[in-house]
Amino acid sequence: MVGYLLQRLIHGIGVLLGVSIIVFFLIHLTADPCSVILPPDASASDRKICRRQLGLDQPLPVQYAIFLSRAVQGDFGFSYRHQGYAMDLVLERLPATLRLMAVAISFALLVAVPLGILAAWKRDTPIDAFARTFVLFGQAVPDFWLGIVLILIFGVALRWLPVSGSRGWESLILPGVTIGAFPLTTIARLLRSSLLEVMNQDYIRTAWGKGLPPKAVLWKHALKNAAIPTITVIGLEVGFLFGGAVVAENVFAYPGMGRLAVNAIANRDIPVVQAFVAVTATIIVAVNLVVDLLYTWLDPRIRL
Amino acid sequence: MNSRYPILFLGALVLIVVACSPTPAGPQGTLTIALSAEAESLDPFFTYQAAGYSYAANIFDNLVERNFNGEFVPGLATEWTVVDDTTVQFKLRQGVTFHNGEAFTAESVKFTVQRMLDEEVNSGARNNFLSIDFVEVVDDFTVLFHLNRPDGALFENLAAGNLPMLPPVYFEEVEAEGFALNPVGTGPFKFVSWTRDEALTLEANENYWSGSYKGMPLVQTLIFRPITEATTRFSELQTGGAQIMQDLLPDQTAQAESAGLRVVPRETGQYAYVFLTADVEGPLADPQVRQALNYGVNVEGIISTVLGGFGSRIASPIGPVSFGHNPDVAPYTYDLEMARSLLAEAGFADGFDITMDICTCDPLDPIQAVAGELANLGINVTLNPLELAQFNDNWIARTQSPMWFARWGGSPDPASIVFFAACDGFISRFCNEEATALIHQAESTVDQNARAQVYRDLSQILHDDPLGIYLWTATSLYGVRAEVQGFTPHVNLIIVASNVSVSS
Repeated sequence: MVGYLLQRLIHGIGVLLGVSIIVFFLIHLTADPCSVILPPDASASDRKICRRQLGLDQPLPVQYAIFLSRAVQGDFGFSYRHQGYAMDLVLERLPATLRLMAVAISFALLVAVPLGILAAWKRDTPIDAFARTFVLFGQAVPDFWLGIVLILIFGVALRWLPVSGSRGWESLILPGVTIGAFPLTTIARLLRSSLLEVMNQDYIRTAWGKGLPPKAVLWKHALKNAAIPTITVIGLEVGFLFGGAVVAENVFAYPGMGRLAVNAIANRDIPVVQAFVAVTATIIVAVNLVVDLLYTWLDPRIRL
Repeated sequence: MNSRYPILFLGALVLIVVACSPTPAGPQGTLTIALSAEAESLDPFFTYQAAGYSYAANIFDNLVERNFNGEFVPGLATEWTVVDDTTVQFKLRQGVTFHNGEAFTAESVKFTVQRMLDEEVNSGARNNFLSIDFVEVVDDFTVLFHLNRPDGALFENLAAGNLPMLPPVYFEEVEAEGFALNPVGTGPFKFVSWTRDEALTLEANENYWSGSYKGMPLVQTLIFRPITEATTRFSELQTGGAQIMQDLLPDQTAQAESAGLRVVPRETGQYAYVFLTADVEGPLADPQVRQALNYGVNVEGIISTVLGGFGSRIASPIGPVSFGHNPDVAPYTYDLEMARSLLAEAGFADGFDITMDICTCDPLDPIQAVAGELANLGINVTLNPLELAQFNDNWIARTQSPMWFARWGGSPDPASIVFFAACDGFISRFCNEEATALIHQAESTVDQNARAQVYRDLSQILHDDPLGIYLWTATSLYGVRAEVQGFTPHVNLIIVASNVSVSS
């Protein structure tokens, strides 16, 4: 177990390093931050001063080495665009985004789990057909469109919920639903198919044969085994949640990390982009580790 | 003249008393304004876009201001005299205090200019103030600007918003970082709080000096909310989450009006062009081809359909809103026959294939309409969309495509066209010696009437030898709720919120 954890930790560090290299070189390939930071009429000498101040006049590998040596100490540098340290700016926004993601995943699970179970349990009935159509629709709808439609219905027409911003828990509902919609469909679909698979297994037949009531068959035997692939997917969905947050935070003018990141990318605010990527990558690696540990609880045959 | 003031003043007083008699005087209520972008910073030295300038205009004041129509009016300087070509004297307004109680004096001016000129501070606007050698404090309320060259654009730059007056004592105490977190100015509103990407909250400065073109603050709380998504911004306006909305889309105007919202358009000094690389071999090097392109695009048609009728045609980079506009220079007429014959004369009767860079930050429809018009001449345009940073980079590095669509300007002063219209402009892809001479003459003409005449002459030259396809003036559209009174859109794209009130 300890050996496994150590191994995963080393993997995680490798992932973070790889991500940082890819992002670093990609963003430097695209454009000179000084041409966005300065107004279009800034002089050539001001541009030169800008590049020197930001250390952009060094060769790229040197810049990366400097970046890395500071980053391992938690120093991602000063934001080019905003007054403040890049990591502080990102961490300041992290709680707002986590709140949004918590609402999103809760919403997704609250709808997906009953839907997936019902669809599998009542296979090939109208309920199943409805669930499958719903899932198909959910997967086809782009999140920015869904966000705007939700605003128009619940914000403008019905006036039940705030249109945008972050004023209390009400503000979390619409963006949370927007972000949660896609993971919802993935989870529901997967839960349905893994339950169907499990239901054909010998031990379920045995359970029925023992005369167990349907509830016990479902909850005690079928669901626990069917949950393994579902839990894996939930771990993977964390990445999609961040992606969804980036879109939803911009549609709903919600001051989270995703909005900060979009602005940072558009403005070539490299330190903020790097800090954002480091934080999200760390969270995704950590969540996947937790998922692995959950396997051992769900299926005692799995040994780490 | 002076004797009229008391009468006017009494008249205003009676009106105020009548309008507000049941309620106590003073600023009241909350005004929320939905902006389309967030400012880079609250330090006015480091903002270069409308959002930051709007924040600055409400918190700070400039020495010289442009009023809503773009005319120079006194700000913190009550009068100014051009002593000679390189010396300008400013008389400063007395009795003005910063929000922290610090007095505004000649030292504030000296300190502010010094900070702008400091290379290590490296404001992106520093380039605009390099003509200033130093500021001499004559007495508490008189300063002399000593210039190292005659600078025709000095007043324009002083009024543009990057050099509002800062409080030296407070600034030294909190330093740049602290100042950006808690800015202090002399403006109509005082800073309360800022959550980036969420809201800037200001409160009325009840001690605001009288006589500003901005007017007194009439609401107690002023909130700016940056909402980038246009549909969301419009939804906030519809539901009353905001009372004024910036950048209403042309296709939202009908819906706004039917919902009882006012649409307030403001033609600005920002002009749209398809710029052309005239400095490399190829069809665009020929002035006849560039003229043909101007004849061949039905700009009026695009304005009335795609742009919803907002905007007007420009005849040169010194358009109808610009200082020095020449009304005698008419825009190119839409004349396909003329366009075709000019192209034929230049040897391109069958047209040519060409690429146009466009920024993903610009709406696509009007650009596609322009490209569609060019197709009528046999000119097949491939659109090459680029992100703003890359787009700017290519322009600065001169690696852009032969055509590129861009909007330039915002202020009514045409000084900045030097960068793309003069042979030695650092992003110029065009050279006309005669035009360049006039541009530099305007730069060094301090007398504003003489300077305007230079620009009028320049208009004709740049019209006849076009550096691009001259398209339209950008119009800012504001959505305003019925309960808002007194909102006037500013020609400089900024939102000044004093003088605006909200009835409950």
